[in-house]
Amino acid sequence: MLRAKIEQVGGWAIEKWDFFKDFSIFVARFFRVLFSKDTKKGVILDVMVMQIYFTAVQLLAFFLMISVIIGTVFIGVVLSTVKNLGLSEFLGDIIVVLVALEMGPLITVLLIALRSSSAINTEIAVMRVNGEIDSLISYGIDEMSYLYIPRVISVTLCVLVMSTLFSIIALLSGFIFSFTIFDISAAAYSELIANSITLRDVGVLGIKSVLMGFFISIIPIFYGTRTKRQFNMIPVSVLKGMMSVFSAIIIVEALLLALKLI
Amino acid sequence: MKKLSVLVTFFIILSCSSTPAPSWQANAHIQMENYIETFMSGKENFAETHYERFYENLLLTADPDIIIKAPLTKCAIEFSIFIESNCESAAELIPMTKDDENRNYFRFITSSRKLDTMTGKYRRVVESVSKCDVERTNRAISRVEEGVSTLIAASYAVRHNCYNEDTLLKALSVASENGWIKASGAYLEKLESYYVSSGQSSKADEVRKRIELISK
Amino acid sequence: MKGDIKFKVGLFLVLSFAMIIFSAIFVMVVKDVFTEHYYYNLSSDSGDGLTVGMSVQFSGFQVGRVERIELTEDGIVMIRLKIPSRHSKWFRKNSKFTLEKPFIGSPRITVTTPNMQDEPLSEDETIEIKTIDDINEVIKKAQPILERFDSVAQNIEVMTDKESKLNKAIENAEKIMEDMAKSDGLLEMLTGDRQSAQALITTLRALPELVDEAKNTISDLKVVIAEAKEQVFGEEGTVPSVNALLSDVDLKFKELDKLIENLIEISDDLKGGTKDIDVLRKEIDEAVSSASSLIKDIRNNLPFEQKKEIKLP
Repeated sequence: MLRAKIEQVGGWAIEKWDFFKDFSIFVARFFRVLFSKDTKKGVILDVMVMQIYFTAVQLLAFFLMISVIIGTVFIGVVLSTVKNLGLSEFLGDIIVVLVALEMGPLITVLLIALRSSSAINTEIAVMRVNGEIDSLISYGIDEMSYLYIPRVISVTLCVLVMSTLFSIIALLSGFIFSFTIFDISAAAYSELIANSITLRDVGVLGIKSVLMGFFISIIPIFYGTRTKRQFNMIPVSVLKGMMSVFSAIIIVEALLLALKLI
Repeated sequence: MKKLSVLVTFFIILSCSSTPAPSWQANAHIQMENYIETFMSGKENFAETHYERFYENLLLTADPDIIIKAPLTKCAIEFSIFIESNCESAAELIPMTKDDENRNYFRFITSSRKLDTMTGKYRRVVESVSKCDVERTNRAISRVEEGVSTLIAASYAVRHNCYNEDTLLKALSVASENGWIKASGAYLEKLESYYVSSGQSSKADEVRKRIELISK
Repeated sequence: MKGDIKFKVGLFLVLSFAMIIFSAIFVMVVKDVFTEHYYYNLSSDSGDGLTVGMSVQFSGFQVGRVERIELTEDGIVMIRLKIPSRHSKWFRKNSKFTLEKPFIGSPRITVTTPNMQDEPLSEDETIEIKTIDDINEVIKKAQPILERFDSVAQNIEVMTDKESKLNKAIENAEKIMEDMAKSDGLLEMLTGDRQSAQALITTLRALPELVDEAKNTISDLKVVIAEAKEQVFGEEGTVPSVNALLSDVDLKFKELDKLIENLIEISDDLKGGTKDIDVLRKEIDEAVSSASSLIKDIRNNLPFEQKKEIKLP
């Protein structure tokens, strides 16, 4: 009885370890191919354009709307709280930390994960079940450079660009709110925000976006390639993939916070 | 990091506060100081009321080791200007106290024999008086801080007959600096009899004139 | 179709990057990355409360930041201020620099320039910085005053206590007056009731003395209050950020002042015997009780440390 339990734990650990090993090998191969000279840039570029179109351009209108709404509402709440507490001195710092560094990347990455990560996972899983990936390989086409690399790069790029956009737009729309409600002038607001932004903040925003973008694209691809060759396994693959994507987001967020505290 | 600390202070500020000393303590302290001040300045009427309030405030604690500080203080103050008293009210409380400091202090101001040792600020005085080294005693007295304590130390030396002119002059200057006319009077009288007994009649006359001046 | 998508993606990327670059430039312009800077040097005995990047303010506006803090070989802290050229006009030869550590909020360096026509401050000069530690400073100044304040107030209370000599004297006087008011009271006294006569004499003798004592103490309190007001609210002691906290206290001080004027007036009357004694006593009682409650209020308003052990002398 006890032995069975321990075996269960052991089995679970081995399974996880194998998974982690496979994932690491996959990521290592990804970078090897990415930086090798043989990779055909032209093909990558074409797929990238399509991927950016699906990930960013199609989402753009909705995304902009969300950033405006969150920018006004959120900054409004922060403004009035801070004012009530008599901490107006830290207004700039609080807005920059909360909106630009925390909410920007998080909301962007969640939106893109919801839309694109699930789509990528399904796409790769379907290709795998249909044997398309195998046929690509049999024709001598490297599936890594043709299928995976363009997707990872474009999603990462999109997260980076869009979380920056989110921060800029949210801060801009925050101004509208602070102007109408609190009568803060444009000059005062821009000075307030600009003085609170440091190069370090921009760096943290960049690193966070790139890390998150990378994981929310490579994880679903990896799950897609491991799908068992049965159509009913596709949803299982997507489900597991999305759970891992979510964990990865949390882990990156926590790691960066820990890094900041050290 | 800086920004994080800003957020942290944000919340710390909201949760800080400090607790003042209990009111019996603050009040007792003031009353005690007023008692000493008024008593030494010869305003006995007020001194008495201040002493009563001092005692009442200490009584609130119901702790004999704290309550006894009032009669001990009174006794010590009287002791410092040679008023003989047997410290009855302190003596009554002594069996109930647990703190050695109070017991030692009680012995210090009431015992007719010299003590061998004593803790606290009077240690050096007690030790030099026990060997009756007048020079050392005078130095030890000068080292005692706070006016009242200096007078108490000097009075201890006088009681155990281990003093000279300097001892009395030191105490007199402390009393005079603080405007304690009652203490000044007491030490002037001691000084006068010291001069008389040592045959310095001209100095004794001078002191007598000073006594007359203040007793007008 | 394919071309259309390419166009849209290109447009998205170009516009986004343009916006990001524009924002970056805007932030840099506001942060004065492109403007010329002046550097001024300050010195201080202690680096306590100083941080790199802390704000330098003139009339409440940020005009620059602390760029560097260094400890020199001889133990002096050198502070280097970075001021954009458009703000350098506020820095003159006679400018004074103070490090303010407000009760709430982060510390800052404040520049005051009494004469704007003075020569501009040279970058080679080193000026000493003064430190204002708001609440601590106020507490340090006001603590001894409040202590004296308390002790005088307690004195007044003792004097006007029910059991006090003053009150007893007043009571006695009252009784004697009552006796005298009865038709045969005066006669009785005159015909040789020695006890009553003696009582009258002692009471009448004691009364002015006691009233004088009371008056002295009360005017003592007045001096203390004046001192307190000067030190806490006077020019030297004015600290803007605690003013709100203190203005309430100031009001109380004013009320106290009035009360004390009253008390003095009352005791004058008492001496002259122009007022009904019973009324007088009530007035004194009232004044004293409101005075002591005011003092309690003042104490509660200022965060003083009050740990006082009872130690044997």
